[in-house]
Amino acid sequence: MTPPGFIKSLGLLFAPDIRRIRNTYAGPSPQPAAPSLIILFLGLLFICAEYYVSTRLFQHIMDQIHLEGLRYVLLAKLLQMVYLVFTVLLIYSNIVMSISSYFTSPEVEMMHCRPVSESAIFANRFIETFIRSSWMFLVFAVPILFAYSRVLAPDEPFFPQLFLIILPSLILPTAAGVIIGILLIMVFSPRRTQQVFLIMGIFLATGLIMIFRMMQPEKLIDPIGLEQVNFYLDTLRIPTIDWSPAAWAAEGIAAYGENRPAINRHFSVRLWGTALFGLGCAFSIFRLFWWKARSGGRDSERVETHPSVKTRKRSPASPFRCSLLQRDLILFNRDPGQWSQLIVIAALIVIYVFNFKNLPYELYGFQYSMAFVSVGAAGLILSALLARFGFPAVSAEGRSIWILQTGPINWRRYLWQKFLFLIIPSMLIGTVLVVFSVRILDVRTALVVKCVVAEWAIAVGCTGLAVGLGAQKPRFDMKDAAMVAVSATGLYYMITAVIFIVLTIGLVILPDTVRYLSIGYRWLQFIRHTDRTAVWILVTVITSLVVIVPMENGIRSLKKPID
Amino acid sequence: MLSIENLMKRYGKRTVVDQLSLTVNRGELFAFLGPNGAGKTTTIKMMCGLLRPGGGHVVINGFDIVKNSRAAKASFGYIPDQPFLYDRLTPREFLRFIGGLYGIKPEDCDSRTEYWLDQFELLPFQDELIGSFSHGMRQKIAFTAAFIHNPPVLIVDEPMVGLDPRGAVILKKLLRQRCEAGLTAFVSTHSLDVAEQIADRIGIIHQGRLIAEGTMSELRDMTRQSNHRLESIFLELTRARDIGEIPVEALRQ
Repeated sequence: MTPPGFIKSLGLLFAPDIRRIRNTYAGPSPQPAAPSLIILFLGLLFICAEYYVSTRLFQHIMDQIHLEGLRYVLLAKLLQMVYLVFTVLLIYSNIVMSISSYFTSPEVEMMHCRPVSESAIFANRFIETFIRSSWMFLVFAVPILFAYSRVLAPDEPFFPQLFLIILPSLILPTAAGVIIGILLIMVFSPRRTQQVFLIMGIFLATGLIMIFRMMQPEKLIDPIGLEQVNFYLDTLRIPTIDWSPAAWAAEGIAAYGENRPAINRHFSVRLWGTALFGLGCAFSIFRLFWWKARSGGRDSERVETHPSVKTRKRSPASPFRCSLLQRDLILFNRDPGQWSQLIVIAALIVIYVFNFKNLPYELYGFQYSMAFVSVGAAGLILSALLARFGFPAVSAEGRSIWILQTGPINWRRYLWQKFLFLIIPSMLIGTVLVVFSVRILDVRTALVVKCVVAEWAIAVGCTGLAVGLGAQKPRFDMKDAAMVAVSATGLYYMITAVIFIVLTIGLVILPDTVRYLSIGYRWLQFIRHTDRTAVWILVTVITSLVVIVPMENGIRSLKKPID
Repeated sequence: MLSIENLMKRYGKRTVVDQLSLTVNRGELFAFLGPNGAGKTTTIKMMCGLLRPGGGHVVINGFDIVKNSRAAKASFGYIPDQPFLYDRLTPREFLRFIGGLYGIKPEDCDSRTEYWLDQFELLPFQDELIGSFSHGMRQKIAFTAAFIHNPPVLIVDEPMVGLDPRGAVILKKLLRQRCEAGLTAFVSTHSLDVAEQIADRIGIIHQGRLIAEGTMSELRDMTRQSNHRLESIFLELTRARDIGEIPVEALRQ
């Protein structure tokens, strides 16, 4: 019996993945298609919005700048900026993915103990890394490139040429990621390397987003003069060096705007040559060092017992409460994938504050209204954060849930503890956001207090909603807690949270709105003196309901054994 | 101490557990055998409150697992066939956590942790992350976690999975010792040798129904095979294509 050849082996290695996808929707026990369709719809919506905004931006540049050369430089700079951001992200993403694909994935051992050629395994893992890392480029960058092609309407068929440029510029980061990944595993263990790069990746992504935001691309929409263009070009000075493939790709695409296909072909050839060279290098590194990396690179798993375990003897709280809190703290502390997300929160807050500071609120004239707009915006940020940390709080138990399910657990205490664990940071973040933004508006202290109290109500309500709804349909099979909210229940949570935020703000501003309107409309006189106390009681009742109803449903759901 | 009465479970039209009834007395080690897909794990999951029974009752230490689940769950320790533990906790931290769930005071938990880790020869590894442990070591950790609250009943799904010969001997000895001290153990296993060596009574489930139950000698009598080993008895009882061919009631008597 002869082992299968390269092509056949590659096909066989991909067969389980294809089968798995097919079985998800058309297998013996298919998954409901609705959640996937909703996500697909939202994704398409995002792509369309991105395409629209990019088209407007490119069109604006075309309309405003009449100097051909300057227009070309500006467009090329813009594309370089997009390409450079994505290339850096792609390299990091590929390093993390390659460690998973080549070392930690359960399929790796299965492949290596079969009579399959090394080249087929390399190709299979390479393609997997490529797909898992590059999809974001297709979603986020391709609509921009399509918009570019539409606005500039190049003479030659654009899409085949675009494909010829994009493909090698995606292969290169994958090859680089695989090479760096294998070399890193030779020094460290796969888990540690992946963690380090995950954190670095989050830092990088956050930094890039913040830099991009602070460059204020929206200023391009303003009418600009030549002097300002020069200043703008100056601010766009980014490290796009001649030997950077990201710059080649951007230059190659931008060359179409100038109808210079020869330049495009030149960069295309350069990119393909480099990509094939990178691919060859990655394969050589794989052949030379994969076994060495797999058998080497170990690090000690010995850890210091957590200090909270040592001091627990003096805790006045019940052993049950202590145990859960302590476990959550230790697990959070030891999982960089979890705590690194705090960086994302910090970035979100900085971006929010930056945006708010740059809002032309004086144009609107209503500081009062703007104060409550800030309450709403802070509420939306909070609800998004709770979708990440509160909604998956129960699902985060993962496959270890059997420990709790077979123990004498008081599920009510368990879920309320989750709620209490989240409520303090939620209220704190909400307070910081609101106080900062209303202080910028320079409003009365009474209004600041009103806004803060409204934000507390939103924080309490959204926390209860997130924890409670998350407990109603927990996903213990999910490896990544961040993905738990990407479900129909997650979407339901977001919609309910937004309605609750709008309702709370609407009620809080009701007495003042009625008083304001009654000046012009006499028929409103009879409700002129709307009882503020009654409004706050109503807010309290609604907030309590928004907390208690989902929490109680969640408790009921947790108590029930699986059918 | 542990009684199952007319337990049932259906998935669609397929009956996985069919009118299963049995009793395990205090201090008894009951081995639960059956071919793959016979309904062993489903039965155990219903016993532990992980699956809702389609019918019937499970009573542990006098508490119904559905009606009085917290009291019932406080009465048993459970070791699943695949114990998913917290990879980023050390055994000491994990056992502190488990102790807390059962309301054990920290000072008591410390001494119990040390005792049980020592019993399973895991004391030198108490400060290493569970994530770095082998399957057998994880199995031992699951055992220590099940014993930490001194439960009167122990429910085990495949006890020997991943254990080395020394670990298996320690476990068998420990189970026997604890049963002699009054522990009631319900052990589901594919290892017929283990069942033969340590069980007081053996139950065989096939196609969701309990087809035989009794001591080794009673099982031999049922199959009229004196001196035969459990393997032969098991194969003979489970080979019948039609469950009706086996005179269950006659065999029981």
